[in-house]
Amino acid sequence: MRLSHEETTFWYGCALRAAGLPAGAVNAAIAMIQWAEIRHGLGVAYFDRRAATLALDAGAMRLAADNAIDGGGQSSLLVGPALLDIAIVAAKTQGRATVSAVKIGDAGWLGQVCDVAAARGLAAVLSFTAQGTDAVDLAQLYSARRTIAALPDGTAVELNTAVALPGHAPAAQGVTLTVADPASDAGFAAQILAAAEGATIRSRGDIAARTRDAMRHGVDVDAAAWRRLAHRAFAVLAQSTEQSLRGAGA
Amino acid sequence: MKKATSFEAGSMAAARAVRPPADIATPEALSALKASRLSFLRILIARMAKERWRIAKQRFDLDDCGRGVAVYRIDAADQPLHFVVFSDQLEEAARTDRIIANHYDGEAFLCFGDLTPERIAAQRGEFADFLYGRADIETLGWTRVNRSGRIFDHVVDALAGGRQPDIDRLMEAGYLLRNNGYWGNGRHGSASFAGLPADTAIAEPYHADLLTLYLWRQFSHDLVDHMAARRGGADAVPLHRALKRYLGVGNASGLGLIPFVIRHPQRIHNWCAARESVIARAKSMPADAATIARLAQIIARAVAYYAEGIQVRAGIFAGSARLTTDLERLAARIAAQGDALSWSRLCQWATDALHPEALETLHSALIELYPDLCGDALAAMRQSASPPEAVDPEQSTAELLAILEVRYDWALAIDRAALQARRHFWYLSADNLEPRHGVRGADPMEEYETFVDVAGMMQSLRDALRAAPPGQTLDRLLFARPDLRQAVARAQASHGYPYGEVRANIIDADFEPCHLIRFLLTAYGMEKLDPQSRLWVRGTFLQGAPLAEDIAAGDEGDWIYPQRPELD
Repeated sequence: MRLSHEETTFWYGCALRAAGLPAGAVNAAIAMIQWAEIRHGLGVAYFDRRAATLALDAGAMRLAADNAIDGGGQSSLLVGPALLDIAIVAAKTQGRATVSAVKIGDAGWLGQVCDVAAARGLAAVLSFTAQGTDAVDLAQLYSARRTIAALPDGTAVELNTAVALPGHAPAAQGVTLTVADPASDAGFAAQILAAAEGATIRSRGDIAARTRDAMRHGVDVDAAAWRRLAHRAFAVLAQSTEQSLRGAGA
Repeated sequence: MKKATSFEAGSMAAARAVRPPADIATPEALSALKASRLSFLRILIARMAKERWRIAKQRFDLDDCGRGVAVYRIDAADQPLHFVVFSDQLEEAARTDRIIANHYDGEAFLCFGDLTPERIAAQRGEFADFLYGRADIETLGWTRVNRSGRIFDHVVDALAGGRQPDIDRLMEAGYLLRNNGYWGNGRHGSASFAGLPADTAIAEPYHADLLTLYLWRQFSHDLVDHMAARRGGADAVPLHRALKRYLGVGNASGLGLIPFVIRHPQRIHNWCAARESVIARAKSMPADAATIARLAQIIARAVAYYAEGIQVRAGIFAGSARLTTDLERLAARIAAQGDALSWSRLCQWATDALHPEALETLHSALIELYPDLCGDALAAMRQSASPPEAVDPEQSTAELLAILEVRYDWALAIDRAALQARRHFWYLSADNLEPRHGVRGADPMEEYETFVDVAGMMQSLRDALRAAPPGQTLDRLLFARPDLRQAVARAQASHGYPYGEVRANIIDADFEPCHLIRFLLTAYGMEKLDPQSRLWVRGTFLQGAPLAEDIAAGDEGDWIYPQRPELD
């Protein structure tokens, strides 16, 4: 069956609220999931596998050092935006910055942070090696290791392994994000492209066409997985009562 | 960042004359706004007539009671659309204005693509399960109606008996079918608006939604003619063209519109800013004999329209009596001023002397006088309406606090200590996802409340910013408080939509949802509506609008404030 791209905002939003994600963090999380859906078809199927173990407690995260996050086992939907924020601020002050995160779940949704950085005129490279059940799920759907880069001109680089690139040395475990500001580190983007042998290179036009196609024609999903997603989303619905009917104006 | 258009960069004089957001973006002020040439339905009808869209009845397999399937083909400028109606007849007691029922007198879908019997049958089956039912991706949306309990049977009986229905009764109701919703833009798997090719006729804001209203109106005419002919045989007569033109399509809307208004500050801003800019530019135009005469004609028609037909009860709104009284004063003022009239002085007098609804009727009439001013405004209204998502983490907490204290001064000033100030919360019901509001502390599911509380969100952000070191960048604040990300994104983007934030405590016990419901319906193009309670309204779209044959002939006509129909 097919879902429209637009409706997934509702399904993921409700399901994430039901899973305990704070309301104010939901929009950013939905954007990460939808990005993975459009780019890698990792939407409903991945959510279906990860939903039962989503960890969404911001209090469990801590800054281990200035540029190092201990994710406390929490989901990338919570850690990912924080990882990017810290990397952007560091890159703006240092020219290029690498931020690492360990103990982070659901790594398959992290790729979007590179695009957000690129949209801000930065070059970004993210590598991850998934852990535990996430590694199993990602290996079946996609790849448990990954390197993704996004450049300010809209070009994307994708490698099915966590690889070192110039100025970007992935840790053996967890996530490594390197962000560079072309204003003070103009060569980083070119270095990434030069070193990206064997990578899938997508142009801005390719990505735009892929996005348009998903917007226009929707996304293929497994019907049973979608039913389970809908069931999770409907956990936020209130059962109808005489009192609630009065609150509808009846 | 939002790009400035030539429209926004218009004349400095007009820019200075634009009313500030504090005067416009309150529930009461928004509620007073009136439909105009900039309302989306007017934009749609103008386009349909300009491009001579053709609407043809392809199939009409209905029985004597109007039960069966009807199919319309719409030839827009580029590609054909189909509107498929599943028509039924409910007992009066089974009819509801709300979305919680499982059966309606009419259910329909608007779609692209080839229309096969299999596709029609599949869609009919999907309507039965509102929560899990699926449209196909070529479907633009689903919509439902009920027959008017007041006049539908009367009209069919009269026509079957060879006579036209009672005009007074028609005017009192205003419609034959009453719409109770449109589910598109991805709902149930329908096509995403953002995915429609930009050059598609239906890709303009709200065109698909509002086209279904037009098609329901067309269907209502065909339905009563069909039923009358089946019952009356040779004695039956079709509904008179003047009555078809007068009748619109009803609508019932409720609490679900409030979260929509709050969640889309860009859309609200775009519409209000376009309207305010055109009004300011119109006020700077010289009044001459022709425009004065045209204004006087429009106001005279407005007086008659508000005095006749559906009566808006005084209370939450001004009410028909007060509005017509003030519009008569306005008409007298226009006549007395004669050639000395200046639009800006007239508007200033109306601001000081008349009810805000009368003032806004005048403003809408001024927009009517200068259609050429509206072109750039339409382009501005099409600009991006995406919600703010990305944040700028480099900003310091002190910088954002300073922004907050200026742009959200109204929100930060609200005293929310009293329980009454936080009384309500919005939520979704398991009854077909109907939006409702509950009482905080008494009703369940408060933890999943739908976002409407901008003031509360910004007060929480202010408190966190005050507690943070002033030089700290937002990345550190958001690391500790990811729940504030939406608030930060919204506050940082707020320079782009000064009219977009409704300046009110939406969850206060005294907040009147009807104001924002009416505002949104006005933006769509509804001219007159009556509150049924504080929480929902009934009204009529498309009264006086051109019929399908007029549209096909390229005749938009002059159809605002339709007058009592005259039969030949």
